[in-house]
Amino acid sequence: MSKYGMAIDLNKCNQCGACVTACKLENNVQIVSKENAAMSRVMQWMKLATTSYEGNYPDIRPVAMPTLCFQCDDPPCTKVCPVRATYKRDDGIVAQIYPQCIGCRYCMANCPYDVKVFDWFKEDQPIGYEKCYNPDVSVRPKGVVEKCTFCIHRLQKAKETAKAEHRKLNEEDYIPACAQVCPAHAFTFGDLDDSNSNVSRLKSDYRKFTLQEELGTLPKVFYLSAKSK
Amino acid sequence: MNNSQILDEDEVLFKPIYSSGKGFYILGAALSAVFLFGVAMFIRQLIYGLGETGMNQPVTWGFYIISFVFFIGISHAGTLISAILRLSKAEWRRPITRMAEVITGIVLVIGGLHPIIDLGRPDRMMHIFERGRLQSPLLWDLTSITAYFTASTIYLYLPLIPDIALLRDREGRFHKLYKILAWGYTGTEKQKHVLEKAISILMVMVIPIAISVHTVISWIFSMTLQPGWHSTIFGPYFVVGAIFSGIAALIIVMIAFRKAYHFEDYLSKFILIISGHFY
Repeated sequence: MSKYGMAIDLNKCNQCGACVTACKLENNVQIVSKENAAMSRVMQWMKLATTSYEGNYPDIRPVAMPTLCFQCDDPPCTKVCPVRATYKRDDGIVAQIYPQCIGCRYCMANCPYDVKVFDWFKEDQPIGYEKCYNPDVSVRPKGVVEKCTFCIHRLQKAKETAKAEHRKLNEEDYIPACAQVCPAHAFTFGDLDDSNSNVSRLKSDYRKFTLQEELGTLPKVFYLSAKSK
Repeated sequence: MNNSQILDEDEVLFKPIYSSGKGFYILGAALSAVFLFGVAMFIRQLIYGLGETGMNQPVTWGFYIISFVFFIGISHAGTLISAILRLSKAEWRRPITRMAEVITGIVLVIGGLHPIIDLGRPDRMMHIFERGRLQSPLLWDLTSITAYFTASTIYLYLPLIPDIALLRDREGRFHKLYKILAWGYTGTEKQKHVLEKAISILMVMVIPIAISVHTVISWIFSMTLQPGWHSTIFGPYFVVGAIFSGIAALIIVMIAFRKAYHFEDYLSKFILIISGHFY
């Protein structure tokens, strides 16, 4: 059974933000108004989380790392959902069922990485944005929790294509939008259970670290960085 | 129970039941206005979304959950006064038992409604009952609050029966209602005995239910991984805090009732015991 994971090489990442934009367009994530953005309600499934600042005034630069749902193997969010609107699938992806979610935000309270996003409002999108909606992904109503799902619609499409062509699913058939567009090739996505895949080989890299390991959530997205963390 | 058993000094107790002063109606109108404003704001929240509350990330639980914890906490006053003090046979609790139990009943309803107005999709509330996961602390909380509300309401009603019978015999306002609620109580020895037994059983049942309610609510927080919440102290911490706030709420209510309805003869001793200088 496949277990999908991802490696993000921070030494290659130049913080261009292409992954953020690609994720937003691929998954029909809402664009919020300026007032709401100022109130920390920006909706981003993949965000560039600023970890520190470097340089001296006035040349200060934020140092950011791409943060998405880490698809934990022991997810704290699925444990507390009262209606099973979020659950861990057999292939390791933590899924979100939008029609089931009642919007209690308990999963958000329990996520230590703050990667779950809530629809506080349902706003009018900028003109033309509706035309760009991805038909494979549902548009969420207000009042439900959403998060990165490793572009699971792409997995479903790839599986169906492979089945129609009477072949097995290959590694290159399925890749999330963020990993696909990165110009620096900082993302490595694949099957962690497959010992031949690139991402499995990177798991034993000396530069590997995961966020907040001490909490025991076993995230399946890990970072590679030669600099000190 | 016949009227000759009522002392003339006790008439002041019956006065608020049979006549309401002007102040009562003015206060009722003012509070209804506030309530209607709240309903209007809730409808606004339903139309536009939860963003109307001002909550945002990463702190996604704000006013509603805090109020919920507070109101459920106040309810512990009722249990403390009526159940625990009855168990320890403290006679000075008698003037305030009724007030404490009514406070408990009301705040449990208020507190129980708060998670519902906090939901992003309250129209999907039935999902909790149809497809709830008992592993979630929110479900434990739902179970325990329902149990506590049921037990507490019955525990309010049972000792109320002899007093409703008293009102029924006086033939005043709401006579038909009292006739139904008094359930045919006539004060015979057998009836008194049965009532005493029922109250005693409930008294012993209500104490562990009450302590478990706020412990379970505290576990909603302490079962998360958040720093500051992920601690084992939460169970006793919330229960002790609840008893403190509950007694405080009870004292405020008592002072208001004492002034408004001239209950000085009945409540002064208790106020002296609790605080000392509120006249």
